[in-house]
Amino acid sequence: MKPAISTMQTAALVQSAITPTMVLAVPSIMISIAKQDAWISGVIALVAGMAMALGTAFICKANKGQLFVSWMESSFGKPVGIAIGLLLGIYYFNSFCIIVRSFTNFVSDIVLDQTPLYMLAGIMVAVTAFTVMQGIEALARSAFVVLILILVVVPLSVFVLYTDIDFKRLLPLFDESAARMMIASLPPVALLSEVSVLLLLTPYMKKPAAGLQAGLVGTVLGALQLLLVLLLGLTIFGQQLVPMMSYTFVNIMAIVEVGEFLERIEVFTVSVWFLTMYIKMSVFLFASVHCLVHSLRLRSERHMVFGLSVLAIVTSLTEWPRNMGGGFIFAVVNIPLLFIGNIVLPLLIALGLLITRGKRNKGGSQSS
Amino acid sequence: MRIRIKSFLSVVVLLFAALVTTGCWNRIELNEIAITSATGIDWDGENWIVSYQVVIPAAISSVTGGSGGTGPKSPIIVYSTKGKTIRDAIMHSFSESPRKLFFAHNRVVVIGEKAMRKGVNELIDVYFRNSGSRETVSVLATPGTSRRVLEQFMQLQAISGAGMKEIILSEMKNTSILPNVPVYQLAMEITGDAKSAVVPEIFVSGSEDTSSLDSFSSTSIPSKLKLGRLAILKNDQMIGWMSRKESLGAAYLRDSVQQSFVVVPCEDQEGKKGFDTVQILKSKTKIIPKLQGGQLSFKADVDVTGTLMESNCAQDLFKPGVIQSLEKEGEVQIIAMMQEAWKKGQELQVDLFGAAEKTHRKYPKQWKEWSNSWDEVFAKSPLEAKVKFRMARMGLSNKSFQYLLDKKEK
Repeated sequence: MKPAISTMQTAALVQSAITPTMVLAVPSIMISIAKQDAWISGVIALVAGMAMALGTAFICKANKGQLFVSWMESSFGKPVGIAIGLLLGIYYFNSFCIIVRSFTNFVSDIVLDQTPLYMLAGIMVAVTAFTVMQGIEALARSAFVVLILILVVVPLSVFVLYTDIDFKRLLPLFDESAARMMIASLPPVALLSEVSVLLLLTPYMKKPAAGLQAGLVGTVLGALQLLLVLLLGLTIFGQQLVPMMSYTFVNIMAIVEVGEFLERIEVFTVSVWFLTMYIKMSVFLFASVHCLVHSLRLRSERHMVFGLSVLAIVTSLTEWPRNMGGGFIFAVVNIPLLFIGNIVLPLLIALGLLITRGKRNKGGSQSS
Repeated sequence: MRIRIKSFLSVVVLLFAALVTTGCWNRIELNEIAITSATGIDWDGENWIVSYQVVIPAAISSVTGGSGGTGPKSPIIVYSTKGKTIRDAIMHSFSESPRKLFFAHNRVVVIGEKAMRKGVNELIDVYFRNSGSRETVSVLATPGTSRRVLEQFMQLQAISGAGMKEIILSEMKNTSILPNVPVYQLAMEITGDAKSAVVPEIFVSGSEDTSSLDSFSSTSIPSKLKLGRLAILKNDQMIGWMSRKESLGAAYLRDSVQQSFVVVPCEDQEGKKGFDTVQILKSKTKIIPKLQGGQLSFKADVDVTGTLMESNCAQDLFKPGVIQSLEKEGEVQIIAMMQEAWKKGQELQVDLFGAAEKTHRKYPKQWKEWSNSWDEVFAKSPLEAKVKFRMARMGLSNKSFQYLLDKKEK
C-alpha cells in the first residue's frame, strides 16, 4: 500500500527541507551584502519562494498519482525518465553530503569541538538512515511534531529578547541599492527552491491536489523564519556586527539574560534546531534513495540507504578538508547547484510536459 | 537460529552505539576545571598579561560561615599568564594550573588602562570566536592593573567577580551614572556609525589592599572596589575619561537613564537656601538632528518624571508655584549636565550619544559625505536641550520639616 501523508505534514516536510540551512549561515551573508536592508531581501526571497512553490505545484498537477520516476517514464519514455531520476538522485545525494558537512561543522564549532568529525558525521548519518528506513509516513509525522516545537520555541525566543530589540536599527530604509538587495536575496532564493522536493512528495499525499497549499505553507514558514532571524539580528546587533557572526541565530540567543536564572538558552534553541536538521537530512536522503531505487529498478531500499549513507560519510568528510568558511561555501558557492537541481531541471520537466501534452492527450483519448 | 543471530547483532550494535555516542571527547568533569569568575587584561608594552580570578568551591562555605576545620580560607585565587596574544597567554595557564580554565561562568572582564589605550579589538575577537566565553560578560576599565582589582575581596560577596557584576547592575538600575557594558554591546558601539564606546571604571578605593581575609576581622576594611568614571573609546582605543557628572549627562543623552536622582537648589520665602533631592523615576530622551543652511545641529527632548525624596527648604508644597519652581530647577540641572557631557564629547571629538546613527537615519544622503569626517562634523554641531520635568509624587509629607519649624518660631 502506498503511504499517505497529510497536507500539513507535507508542508512540515517542505519547511524542514528549506529552513535549517537557511537560518544557519545565510543571515550574516545577506546582512554583509544588503546591510540594514537585508530584511527587504528576505521579503524578496519570500515572494520568489512563493512563485517557485506555485510553479512546482503546477508541475505536480500533471501527475496523476504516479511515483516520480514512473511519472517521468510515462511522460517522456523510459530512457529519459530514468535519466531524470538518476540526475535528481545524484543531485539530492550531493546536497545531502553538503548538508551533512555543514551540520557537522556547526556541531563541531558550537558544542563538540574536540569530537572527531568522522564521529559526528557518522552518528548524524546513522540517525538519518534509521529515520529514512522507517518510511515517508514516519518522517512526515516527525516533521510535523518538530514544526509544532518550532511554533512554540520561536515566539518564546522573541519574547525573551524583547528588551534588546530596537527597530530604529533598521533605518534608513532603502539605504542600499536595489542591485545589492537583489544579490543578497540570491542565497535564500536558492535555498527556498528546495520546495521542488514536492515533485517527489506529492504522490504520497492523501490529497495530491493540495500540493500547492503544502508548498506555499512550507515556503512561507521557512521564509518567515529567515526573516525573523534577519530582523532579530539587525534590531539587536545592528548591521555592522552581524557579518562577523558565523551563526547569527546562536549569537542572538546567547545574549539572553533574564535576571540570574535564565541564561545561555541558546542551548535549547540549538537543540530544537538540531531536530529540524535531522528532518532535513532525512528528506534529502529519502529523496536520493527514492530516485535512485526507482531509476535503477532496485528491489531493496534498505541496501540503497546503507550504501548511500556510507558513501555520504566518506564524501562529506573528504571533499572539504577543513571547516574554514564552510557556511559561506554552502550558502553561496552551492547556489548554482541548487538552481540547476531545483529550478532548471523542474523547468525542463515543465517544458517537456507542455510539449508532450498533446501526444499524451492523444494517447489518452485513443486508450479510452 | 537466524532470529537469535539478529538479536545478538542488535545488542552488539546498541552496546557499540552506547560506547561511542557518549560525547567522550568533549566531556567536562567538574573536578578537572577551574571556574573563572573574573578575567583581567593588561598590556606591559610588549605582551598581554591575562589574570584569572578562579573560584575555589570548597573554600566558599568556610567564608560564608559554613563548617570549616581550620578557619576561613580564600574562596578565590588569582594568577596571571603572559603571551603575545590573549589566547597565547591563556594557553600558558596550562603550564601552571592543575585544572583547565573554564570561562562559561565568567562575570566580568577588567581591562587595565594601558591595555584599553592599546585597543580592545583582540579581546572582542576572542569573545566572538570562541564558544566557551560569553558575550554577556560585563566590561570594566581600571586605571591601574586589572590584576590588583581581581585580588580584592569584597564585603557581602565571597566571589568578588560576581560582586563586581552586581555593583555595576545596581549602579545602572538605581543611579544610571554608569552603564553596564557587555562585550557584545562594546563591539556594537565600536563598529557603529560613530565608532566610539564607553566602559565604566572600577578602582581600588583606599590606600591598602583588601586581599587578605584578615581584613575582615574588623568592622571596616582598608579598601573597597568602587565604580568611578567613564572610559571613552574611539575606534577600539581608550582616549580619555568622563567625570561622573558628565557621565550622567551622557546617560540622559544616550537615553539610558532607568532611575536616577538630581539635587536641586531651593530657596524659601525669606531667601534661605537649601537643597531638594528628587529621585528620577522615568526618563525618555529623543535626539533630533536638524539641518539648516548646511549647518547640522541637534535638539534633545527629555521627558523626566520624578519624586521628591528630601527637602531642607521651608516649603509648603501645596502652595502654587513651589512645585513648578522645583521642576524648573530640575530642568536646569539636567540641561546643564547634558550640555557638559556634549561639550566633553566635542572636546574629545567623540560622539558617544548616538548622534551619528540618528543623523544617518534622518539624512542618509548627506551621511555618505559626513561619515568620513563625522568627528569634525559632530564637534561643530551645537546641542539645544529641552527638558520637561514632571514631579509626580512628593513622598509622604506635603510640607518640609523645616517649614514646620520656621512656622513654630514665628
